[in-house]
Amino acid sequence: MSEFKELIQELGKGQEAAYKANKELLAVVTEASEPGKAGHAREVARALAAELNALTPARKDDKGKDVPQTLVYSAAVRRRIAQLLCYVAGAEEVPALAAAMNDMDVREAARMALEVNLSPEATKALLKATEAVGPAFRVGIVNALGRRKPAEAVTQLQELAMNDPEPEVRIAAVEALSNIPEAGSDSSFAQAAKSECPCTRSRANKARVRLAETLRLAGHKEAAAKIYRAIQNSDADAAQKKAAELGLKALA
Amino acid sequence: MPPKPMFKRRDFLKGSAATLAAATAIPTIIPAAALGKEGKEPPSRKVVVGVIGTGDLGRRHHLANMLLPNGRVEVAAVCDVDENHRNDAARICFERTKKRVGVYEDFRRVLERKDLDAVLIATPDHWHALCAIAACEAGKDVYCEKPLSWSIEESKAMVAAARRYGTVFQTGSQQRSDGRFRQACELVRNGKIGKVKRVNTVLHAVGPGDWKPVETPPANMNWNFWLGPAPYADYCPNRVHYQFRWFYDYSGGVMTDWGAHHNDIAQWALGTDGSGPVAVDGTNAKFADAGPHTVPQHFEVHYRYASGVELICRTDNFKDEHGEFGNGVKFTGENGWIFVSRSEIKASDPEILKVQLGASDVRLYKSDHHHDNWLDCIVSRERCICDVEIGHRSVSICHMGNISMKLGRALKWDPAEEQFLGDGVANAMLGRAMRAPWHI
Repeated sequence: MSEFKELIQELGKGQEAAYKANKELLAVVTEASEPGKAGHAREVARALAAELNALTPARKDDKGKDVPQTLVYSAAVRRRIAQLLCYVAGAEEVPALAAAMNDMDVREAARMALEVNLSPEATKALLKATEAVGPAFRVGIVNALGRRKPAEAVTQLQELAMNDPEPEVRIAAVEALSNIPEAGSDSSFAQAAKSECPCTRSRANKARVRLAETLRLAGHKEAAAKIYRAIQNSDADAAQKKAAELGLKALA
Repeated sequence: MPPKPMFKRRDFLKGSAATLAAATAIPTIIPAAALGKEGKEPPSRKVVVGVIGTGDLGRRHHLANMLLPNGRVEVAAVCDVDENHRNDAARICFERTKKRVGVYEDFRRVLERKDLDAVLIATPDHWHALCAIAACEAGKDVYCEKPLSWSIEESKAMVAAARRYGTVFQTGSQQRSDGRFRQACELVRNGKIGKVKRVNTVLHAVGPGDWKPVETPPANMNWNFWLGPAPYADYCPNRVHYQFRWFYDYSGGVMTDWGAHHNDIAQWALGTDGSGPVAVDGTNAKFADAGPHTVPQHFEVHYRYASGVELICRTDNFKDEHGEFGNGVKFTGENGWIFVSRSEIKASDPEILKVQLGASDVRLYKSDHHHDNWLDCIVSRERCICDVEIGHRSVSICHMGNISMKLGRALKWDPAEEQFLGDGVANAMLGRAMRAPWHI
């Protein structure tokens, strides 16, 4: 793995060196990601995760005081490591990625790597990160949960949709819930659809149409029909009402 | 004589015949053709369009050559994250029509306009899905440039949104509106070269690109918005405008740039618009050694359909026993071959091209003008020649090829489930995580 570390170091040495190093590292991770090579994938993932938050060695200065440890790699290199982890990371790498989410310059890349990590541990890390600082980042976390659609996220997403102090997080949670076939979520949609902000109302109604379709495709026909009819009887835009009409026709 | 007033769609549908007659001084008996089909727009009514993405293609091709000269269209809005591009687009509109259009940086503001019937999307690929889905949800009909999407997950979501909202959706694969390509596909479909064995689609090679230093984005460019859902990268002039095609973060290289055209024609001729290949092998791809382009320079990707037909999509001209073939599509059957491109059609036997198809033969959707077909369908509410599902299936072939090339391994595909078989990482690459706040 020493060649591996050298390649990672090259990622921080200017555009052209980084390009070449990234190309070689991509070859490593894509080969490791091949079905039937789980052992090699583990080895590569561990090596990458070890570098993601690597610190300089602990040492003392000439007065015997501890010199603060710093991150070995720049934010740009660490973002690239997080991208490479998308190919090979599993449950074991989740703590490293979760720790990287504490770094403002790396956290989006770490979040994206967790988003594609299929382990339940990744879902837990994302759920925990909904308590993080920064509405923009938290919107990304909520979007990630919406894309993963884990049933265990429903309660927390419903809570966020109803009660998060940030309006952008609330509506993002509503939109995330529209991907998960849980009829009980409609109450949070109905609340968002009554928002004073016309943009929020519009987004909520669009998400409501999606929720109805999610339920319809999952076989919850009555729940879907109820939502479609509620949309038709609301002050949603004509487009949403037309979509509701089409949805009811599809149920018939 | 005063000009006929243009009716807003909702006003027309609500008005009585007497009111209409009084307002327009036309006979009280109005031919059905003038009114359009029941519940649908009269053909004489202009379609009000917003153009999202007014770079070179958006301005030169769509605005200047297609929309502004078209008497059936009123362009009412232009939108681009590059201020120079949107101002240029507005100027082109004013010079042609003497009317001022709305000028926007944010496509969401365009979609809020109640007066727009439709939008034409000519942004870089990584923005197609977000703009198109939002347009469907806003009740607008859509023309979206090819390649339809940045990923298979995105184009599936576009199909779902279009069906959910009953959107009339045209993919910009305009070769289907070219009589040469239709002739070739009809001849193939009707067995005039016998059972098809192989289809070759020839694109072109891509250079490695030139390194330029990163710099502060120019004042006219909203770089963060340009990036949108794509991973963060420092601004560099060689990443934007036409050049975005050569960076995987924003596009799929020539596989999606030209492959979306020619692989679409392959699908049309094979009759597999609702399906696709079952295997793909992109292990023969050459990427630049030193960059900066991240897409392959040269490749020869092999696909196999369940019928046994082989599709070979390559960057470079090829020679076989029939000659040398460049950019275009060659169909090889048991009894002959046909090659078609934007400039020619030729066959193993010139007599094949003289065949007149009859009433009992397979006839393909006829469109002589891609934009007019879209406008016709906006009125009739029927599906366009390159409906969103067709665009999705065609671009899926390109994306499968890119995934195989990126992973350096052959893959098996289930076109019904739209999943790779036995390869979780390949399936993870059917989509990607987006930068906040964007999601599909």
